[in-house]
Amino acid sequence: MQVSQKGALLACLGIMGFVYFAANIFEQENYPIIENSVYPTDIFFIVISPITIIIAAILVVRHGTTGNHSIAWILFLAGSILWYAADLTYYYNSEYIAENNQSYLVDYLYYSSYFLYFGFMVFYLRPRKNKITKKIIILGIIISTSFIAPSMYFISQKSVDDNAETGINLVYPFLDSMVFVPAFVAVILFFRGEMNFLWITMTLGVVCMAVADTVFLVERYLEIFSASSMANLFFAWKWILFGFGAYSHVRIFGAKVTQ
Amino acid sequence: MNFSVHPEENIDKAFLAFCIEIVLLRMGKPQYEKVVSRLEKEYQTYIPECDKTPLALKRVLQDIFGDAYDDILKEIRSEIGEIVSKKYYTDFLTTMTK
Repeated sequence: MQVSQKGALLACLGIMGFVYFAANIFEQENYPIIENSVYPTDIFFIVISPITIIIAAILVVRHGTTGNHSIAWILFLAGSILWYAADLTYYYNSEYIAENNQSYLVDYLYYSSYFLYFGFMVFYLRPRKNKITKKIIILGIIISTSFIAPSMYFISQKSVDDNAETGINLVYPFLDSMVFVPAFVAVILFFRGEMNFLWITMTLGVVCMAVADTVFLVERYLEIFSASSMANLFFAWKWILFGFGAYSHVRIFGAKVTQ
Repeated sequence: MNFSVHPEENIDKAFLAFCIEIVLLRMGKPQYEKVVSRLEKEYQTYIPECDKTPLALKRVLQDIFGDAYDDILKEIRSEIGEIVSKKYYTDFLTTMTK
């Protein structure tokens, strides 16, 4: 029985959702793998998410140094490596404890990833720049502002004690919006083609990042963030979506022509 | 590859193939190779033969790149440059636009 890409993707998203549901039911916080740092669901971020990095590395090797897409995939690989490094640093710093360790290295690594992902999308779209109209960009910007609105509304309704940390967390929705615009443009540009799957997954991945960042901001502010948080589920979905998107590209452009 | 006995036609054929290839390679080598391989597998043709089988190239480009096909065609047109008004190229581009 051959499983379609869409079917496999939905199954993976569903399994991940179930894992987080079970983690909440069984209160995984009582069963840490490393005290105050790594919990069972975090295994995904440490062990499974590098699969996306491996797929990106395959694409970098496959594309070589010819054309805009080669630069695009190098940036995607760099973005994914930095994100993974940020995740590991996060666990190393034991960020799940309520006290802030005053180190923003993790955030700077995440910030850099967003810019690299943005660069990936820009370079991917560069050969098709003539088809990108102001109308599409404006539509993308309008939709992307919806990522910023909930965080801004939440912050405006609360008195903020820790301005530095809230400020740092508030940057993320803006970065999500920035990355969403080229992803949205790409979905429209490559609509109906085989490459459409890559851009649908990338766009949904960015939406997951935006939801995760907003939930994270709120939960950190209310000091209720935990390893079983919905934010982490959305971050896991983001890895899965990016991984499947990149894999679809390997399937389309992976094979070399035999002369 | 079949060459015409008319040297000018051969130059046009080679130039058109060059323009298509350069546009595809600007995206990336795998993109170029994918188009070449699909043309060969599904239509038993090659990029230099696409002046005779433009619809095959059109279908392959549309299948892979979706709505970006229009822009790829536009780029091929601009790559051809000033001589685009020559009948050989207009015939090819008209079929690709239909």
